[in-house]
Amino acid sequence: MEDNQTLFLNRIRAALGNGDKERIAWEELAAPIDDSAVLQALTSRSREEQLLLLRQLVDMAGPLHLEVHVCASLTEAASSITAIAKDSKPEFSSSKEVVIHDHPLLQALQLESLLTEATISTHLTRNYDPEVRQHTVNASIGITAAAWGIAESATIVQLTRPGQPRSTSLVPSIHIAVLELANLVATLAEAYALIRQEPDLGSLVLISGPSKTADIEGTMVHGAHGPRAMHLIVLTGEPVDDKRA
Amino acid sequence: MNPSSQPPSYNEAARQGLANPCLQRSLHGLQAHYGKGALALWRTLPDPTLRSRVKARRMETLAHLDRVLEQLADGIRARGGQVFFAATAAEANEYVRELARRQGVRRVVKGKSMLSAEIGIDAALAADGIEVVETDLGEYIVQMAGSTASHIIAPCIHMDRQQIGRLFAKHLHIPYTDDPPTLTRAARKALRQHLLTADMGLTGCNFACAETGQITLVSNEGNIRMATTMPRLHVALMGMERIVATLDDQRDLLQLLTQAAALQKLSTYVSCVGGPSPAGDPDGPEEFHLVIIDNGRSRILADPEFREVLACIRCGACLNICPVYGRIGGHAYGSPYSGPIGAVVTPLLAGINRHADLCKGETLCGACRDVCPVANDLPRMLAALRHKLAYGDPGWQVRPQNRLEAIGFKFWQKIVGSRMLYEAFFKFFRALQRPFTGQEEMIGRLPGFDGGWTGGRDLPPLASSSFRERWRQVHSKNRPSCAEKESEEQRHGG
Repeated sequence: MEDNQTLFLNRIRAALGNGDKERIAWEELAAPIDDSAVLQALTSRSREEQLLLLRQLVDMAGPLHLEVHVCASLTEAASSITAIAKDSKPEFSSSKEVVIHDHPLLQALQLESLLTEATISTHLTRNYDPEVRQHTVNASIGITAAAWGIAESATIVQLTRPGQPRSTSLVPSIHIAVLELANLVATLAEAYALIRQEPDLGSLVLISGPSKTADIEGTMVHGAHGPRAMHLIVLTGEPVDDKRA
Repeated sequence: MNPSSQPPSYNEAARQGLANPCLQRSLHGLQAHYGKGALALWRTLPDPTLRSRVKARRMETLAHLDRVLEQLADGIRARGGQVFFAATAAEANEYVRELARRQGVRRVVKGKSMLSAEIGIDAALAADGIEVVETDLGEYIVQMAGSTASHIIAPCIHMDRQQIGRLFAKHLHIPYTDDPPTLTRAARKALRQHLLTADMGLTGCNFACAETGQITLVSNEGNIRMATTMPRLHVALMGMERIVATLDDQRDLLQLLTQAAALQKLSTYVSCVGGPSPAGDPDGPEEFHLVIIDNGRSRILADPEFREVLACIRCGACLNICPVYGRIGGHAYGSPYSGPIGAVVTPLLAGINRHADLCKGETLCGACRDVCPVANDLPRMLAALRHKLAYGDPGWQVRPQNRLEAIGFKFWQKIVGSRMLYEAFFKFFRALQRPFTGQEEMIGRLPGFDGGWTGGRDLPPLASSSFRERWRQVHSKNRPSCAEKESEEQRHGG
C-alpha cells in the first residue's frame, strides 16, 4: 500500500514538474497561527457584550427553526427541559425515553429525578456502556452539552468526548443542547481559535438547527434524517431583563 | 434514464429537458433564488478579498498537492484510519469491494457523492450482491426512479411531487399523497431502518484538512452524519484535489461553499471526522478508510490551461446561473457533473471528443465565472476545449472534430478577403433564400445539414441589399463635398 502511495504521489510530482525539487517544509505551507489575540479578546468580553451576542444568536436561530430558551438558573433550565419532554410525542417507539450526555453541566441539572417523576425514563450515555446504542435508537429526546455556541450563525460546536457520543444529537427525534453564556462566541473564526487549543482533538460537529430538506419541489421540511426539532438552552447565570433577549 | 441502456445524446436529452414543464418551473425558481442570490452575496461580502484569497490559496495548495496529501495520509493513519491511493476508478472500486467482502458487508448506505457516480461504485458493489441505498432524500428518489441526479444539491429537481408521490406509493407501499412533509416522513422512516442496520457508510468528501488529518462533510438532512456514525465501517471517497492545508483554509472554503451552494451561513451539519471511534464510544465506525482517487485528475493538474478547474469546490453555483443549464437541465450533460463545471470537467476526465457537445452547448456568457466562489474562469476553459476540438491536440488525444468545418472556414476566409467574391456570394444566397423565407419574413426551416441551425430557432433572412449598396444608392449624392465641409467648419469656428 505504501508503494501505491509512492507511485501516486510521484505521478503528482511529475504533473507539477516538481520531480527533482526538494519537498517543501510543512511550515511553509501551514504557518503556525498565533491565536493569542483572539483568545485574549474572548476572555475580556464583558457580560453586556455576551448578552448582545445572545441577542444575535436568537435572531439568527429563528429562521433556522432552532428554538432558544434563555434560562437564568439550573432549576429554570431543568424545568424548561422537562416541559419540552412532557410535550413531546415519541416518534419511533411507544415509550418516552431520554438519553443524556455524561457531562458535569447536565448532571448538575438533576434531570433524572425530574423526568422520572414525569414517567419518562432516562439513560446516561456513559463510556463503555454497551446499552447506550439501543437506548439512543429508542429515545425520542437526546440532551447534550455544547462546547461552544457561535452567535453569527446560531451554531453549536460539539466535540466527541468519552461519554459524549455523536449519536445523542442525531438519532433521537428531538435534540436539546445546553450552553453556558460564557461559552458563546461571536464568529466561526473565534470558535476555530478555541478548537485549535484542544489537545487530542477527535471528531467534531457544528450544528445549526434541526435536520431539514428541500429536495421535493423546494418545499422546506424539518426532520429529514436527524432530529425534527432542536432546542438550545442558554444558561445566563442570572436573570436577563428581556427574557426573549 | 435507464443506467444499463445507452444514454440519450446531448441534443436528445436537451430536447427532453426543454419539453419537461416541471423541470422548467423548478429550474426557473432555482436560478431566480440561488443563482441571483449568490451574485448578490458576493457584492456585499464583509471581506471583499475572501474569494481571491481563497482562490490563491487553492492554487498554492494544488502546486504542493503531493506534500499536503502526504501530510493528510500521515494524520489519518496516526488516528487509526486507513488510506488507499487509487490511480483509477477500477482500483478504487476493487479496494472497496475487497473490503466489503472481507468484512461480510451486506448493506451499504451512501451519503451524496458525485465521485461515487463518476467511478461507478454502485454497480461494482451490486455485482457482489450488496444492497446499496442512497440516503440523501433527492438521491434516494432518483435511485428509486432508476434515474440519475440532475443537479448537484437538488438531485431530483426534474421530478414533481405527483411523480414522487406515485413512486413512493409503489415502492414504499404508502397511500398516495403529494404532500412534501408526508412524503419526507415516509422516506425518513424507511431510510432510518437502512441507516441503523447498514454495515458500511459510503460518503464523499467535501474537503480534507491536512493539518488536522480529518475530512469535512456538510449536509442539511443529517444523512451523512448517520452514514458516518451508525454503521461499523466508514469509507470516504475523495477526489485528490479536495484538500486544504490548514484549519483556517478549511474555514474559508466552508463559508464559501455553504453560501455559494445554498445561501446559508453554515449548513445544518458540518462534521469533521477521520478515524475509527475511540474505545468505549457506542458509535461507529470501527474502521475508517479514506480512498484518494486520481482517475484522470493528475493529467488536468499537469496542464496549466486547466489546472484551475481543480480549485472547484462543487457548490453548484454555476448551475444556478447558467442560461444553458437553466433551460436544458442536468441530464443533457450525460455525467454526474452537469452545468458549466460539468462542461469543462467531464470532457477532461472522460474524453474531449466523446463529450464534444458540452463545451459547444455553453454560451461563453461569463455568468459562471462571475458567480464562482473561487472565480474559476470556466468560459476561458470552454473556449480552450473548443480550440482543441477544432484543431486537434495530441497531448489530450483529441482529433479535430469536424474537418468539414475547417474547410468551410477556409472558404469563408477567401470570400471575405475579396470584395468581388463577397458581393457575388451574397447575391447568390439572396436568390437562394427566397423559397425558405416564411410569412413572417424569417427563415424557419433549412434543408439537409443546415436544418440543425433552424431546428430550435428562426434565422432572419439576408437583407435585400447590403449597407454599402444602400449607402451608394441613397447617400452618396447628398454627401457634402470636402470644400463645402471646410467652409462650414470655419464659419462655426469663427
